[in-house]
Amino acid sequence: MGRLRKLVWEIRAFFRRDHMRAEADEELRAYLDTSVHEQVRAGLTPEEAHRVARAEMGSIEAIKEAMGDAAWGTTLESLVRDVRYALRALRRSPGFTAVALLSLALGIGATTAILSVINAVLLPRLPYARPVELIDVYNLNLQVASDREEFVSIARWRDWQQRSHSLVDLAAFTDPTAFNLSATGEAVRVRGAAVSANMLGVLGLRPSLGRGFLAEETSLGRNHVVMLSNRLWSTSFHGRREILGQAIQLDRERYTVVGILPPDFQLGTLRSNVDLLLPLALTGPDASRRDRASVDLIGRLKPGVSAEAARADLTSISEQLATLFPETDQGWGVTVVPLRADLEPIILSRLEIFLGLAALLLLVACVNVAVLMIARAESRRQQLRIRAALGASRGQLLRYRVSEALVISCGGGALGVLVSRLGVHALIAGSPPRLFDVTAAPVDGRILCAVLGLSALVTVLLGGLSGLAPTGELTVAVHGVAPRQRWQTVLVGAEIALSLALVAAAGLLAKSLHAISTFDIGFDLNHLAYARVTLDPAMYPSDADRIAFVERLTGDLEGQPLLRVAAGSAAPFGSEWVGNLVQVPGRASHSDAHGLPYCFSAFVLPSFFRTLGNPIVEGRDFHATEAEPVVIINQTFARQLLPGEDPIGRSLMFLPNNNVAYNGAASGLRRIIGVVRDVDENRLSYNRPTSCAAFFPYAQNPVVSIDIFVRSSNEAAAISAVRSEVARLDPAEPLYNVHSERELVDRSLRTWQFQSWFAGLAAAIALLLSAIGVYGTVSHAVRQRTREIGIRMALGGLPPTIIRAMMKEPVWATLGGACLGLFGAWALSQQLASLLFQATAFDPGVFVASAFVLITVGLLAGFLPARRATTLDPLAVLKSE
Amino acid sequence: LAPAEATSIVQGTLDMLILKTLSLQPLHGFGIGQRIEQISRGVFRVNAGSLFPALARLERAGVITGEWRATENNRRAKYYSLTSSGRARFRAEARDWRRQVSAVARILNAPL
Repeated sequence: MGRLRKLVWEIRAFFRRDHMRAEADEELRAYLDTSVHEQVRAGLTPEEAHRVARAEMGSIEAIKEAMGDAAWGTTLESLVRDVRYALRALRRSPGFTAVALLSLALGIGATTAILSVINAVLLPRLPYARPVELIDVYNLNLQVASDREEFVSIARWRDWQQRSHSLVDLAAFTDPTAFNLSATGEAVRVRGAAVSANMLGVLGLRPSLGRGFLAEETSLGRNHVVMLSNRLWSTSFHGRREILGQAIQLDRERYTVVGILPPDFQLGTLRSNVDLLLPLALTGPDASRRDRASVDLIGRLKPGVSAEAARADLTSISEQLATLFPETDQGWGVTVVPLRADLEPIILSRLEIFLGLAALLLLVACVNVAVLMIARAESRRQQLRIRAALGASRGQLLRYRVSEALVISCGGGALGVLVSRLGVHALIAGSPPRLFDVTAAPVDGRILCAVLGLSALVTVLLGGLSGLAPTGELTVAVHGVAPRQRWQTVLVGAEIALSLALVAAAGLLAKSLHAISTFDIGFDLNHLAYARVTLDPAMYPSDADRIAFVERLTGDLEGQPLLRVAAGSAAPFGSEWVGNLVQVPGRASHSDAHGLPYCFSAFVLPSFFRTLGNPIVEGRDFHATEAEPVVIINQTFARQLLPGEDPIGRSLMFLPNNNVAYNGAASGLRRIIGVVRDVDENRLSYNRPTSCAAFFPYAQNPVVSIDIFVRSSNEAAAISAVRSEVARLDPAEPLYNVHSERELVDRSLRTWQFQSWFAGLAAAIALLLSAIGVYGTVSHAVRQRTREIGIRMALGGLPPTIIRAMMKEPVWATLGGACLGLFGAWALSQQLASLLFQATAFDPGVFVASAFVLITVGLLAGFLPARRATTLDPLAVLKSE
Repeated sequence: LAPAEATSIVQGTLDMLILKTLSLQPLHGFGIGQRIEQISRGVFRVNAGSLFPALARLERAGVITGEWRATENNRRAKYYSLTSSGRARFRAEARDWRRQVSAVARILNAPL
């Protein structure tokens, strides 16, 4: 209590200082008056009484000071006094203050802005309540030593849900499937997933209109209800509220709309959003089969429970289930992954690297401020020595430095907040068009706090404590020549080194962007557009029906002028591919399916490769009709599966695939007739090696989904021609997934542009800060050594000698920093390797060029103020002292 | 008025004397000094230079509190009074003091 009251008193006293001074004044005057009054009563004349009273009392001002010290001689007060002192001192050197504040603000602002934008672009916010509590739960096949995450059966999910102690609830959902929605005139292709009734509850969401699914709607017969995504609701139903309770047609079945999902709804971390949700059927034959795994799970942890604890909990349940249902549950475990961790590794590594680059930039800014502060401290050395001689303790001198550093870091931080706000806008507005989809990003509070804290710490540590030279002799201080500044040289060198690492990183990324922009991706993407059509199996049940439709469609389009048409089930950079496991006959067969190589499979018309401009490099293209089962493979396939062999004429065994959209006919033994050039979409999109791909004649395997490619100088007109042709042939079939290959590839390039743009920006700012650092130290040294320069010049020193003398330290700092920086750049580039396209991380050209840039900038920034020193008039200099 | 040979107050006892005077009634600064002088029969004289800083210190420590009132001569003056923690502190200090004084007396009176 006592302590609290004291604190309250202190704070009150602090804010009422003037008031308290006035009070003390009045109190002392009252004392004086009373004293005079008493003396008069004792018999003195008023004049004498006054004189005696004053003499007895002593200096009123001194008493007031002493009262003030007794009352406010507190930590708060002395802190304020130090800060005031620092402010006064800083006001006296506005040049230093402005440069220090601006460079710190630039560093803090740029770092925060870059990280905030990257955060918003790379880490889309999970639109759920308390997403940290959410986990993904998968089956784990214990018999195969792999960490592949697998589907769970509905029965097993229900067991986990009911028996777990660690989860609030566990919800299930299926992979999205596509439907034809015919509600409003023209047919639309939509994606929908089935979810358990508790899904919205687990995610912590509410429908923005209507209701979620009821428990009884998960039984067959009652489950023809649907929730629409906000997007689908507003595009296809014009946001009409009356749609609630009405029926829509999905693949010719009627579903009643019960609710509208909140905006930005997404299911798990699936980047592809769903258009609608259906209830997951919990009754029926499939739902009770424990061997029919079909759902993914999302759970919500109880407060304070870790994902690890949930895994242990669910694992022990899995062990119980294994003894209860040995047939189906034996050999299956469980994995639990926090929802966030489902990000692609490439995004995580990109995030880490950008965090590192941003930290480097911030460090450069802080070191820069420290360098400037030391330069300033040097010029105030005499003043400090006089203070020391007058009795200031070392601690007090230290306190001045630290409070000055604090004032600068607070001021720079406040400005930095402003700069970061402007910076985010500038970054989004100023970046190359369509570099990213984000149109606004909030300044991330956590990033800002971390950046501010870190910068304050580094500034205070380096600026306040370094260069705290021994106070030395007063006489030397008054007459002497400024001593050499070793600390400062070291820090400038460090700044140069850090900047060099940043510049080299930016150089590597830029080189890699150049490599990728000029990279031949394997097909001609100019004026190439495509759109997808998926034939309803009910209307096109037989292979012949589907082949007839596709051939008529392409034949009709081919007749139109200036249009080249092809069809295939997989578009580069666009559609989802299906895949097959492959066996090479004659090779030792693998014991289980998991060890077999995997290839992506596409089903194409004979004109496919010609229209795409994807050249056949060996063997031949497809003929209009093929007599036997044939396949064309890509170069990677040939290299990986048939190394050193001539692939043409070899046979491959394709194992059947159970995908619904794919009727399995590709399976079986097929002869290789050609090798097609790789299309490096993996490399462009994810910086991963190209996958194996196999192409089958559409006529031998007519899948339901087919992409129609058109090459025309007017892509939009060509696509609308396709649309009207499809509508003419079958008005019930929607044309969807319309894309331009150029746009798709440009989008894949965006991450590359994006990373080199940001790294370049960080490097440019670091370069600017280093230049400021070198310039600032040299010009301070010049001012500091004006007297020395004057004497030298008076004694006949020539400008080159003086420049040489002034440049000694910046040259050492720049060269030493550049050497150190090359090591730093090398270390950083090792971390960068995963983000580099075809460029080896060790690139002497880039390194040497970066070092050259840094040395040039460092020397130039030092030379300019040094040269100014030679223009001084020696007489004026000597007189001024 | 005051004896010329007035003694300066023993280091550290001024606070206790102030508390003692205030335990009788609230007083302003001059009154406190006067009262100490009176009670000590002129042995102790407290000058303003040590009295007011001591008052400020005690007020900050929360053992006394000040209040502006009119004096008998119709002037405004700041009257100090003891808080409850001030009363406790005075009792403790007085007890300590008495113990010390009697100990010192015993030492001085001890036969050699």
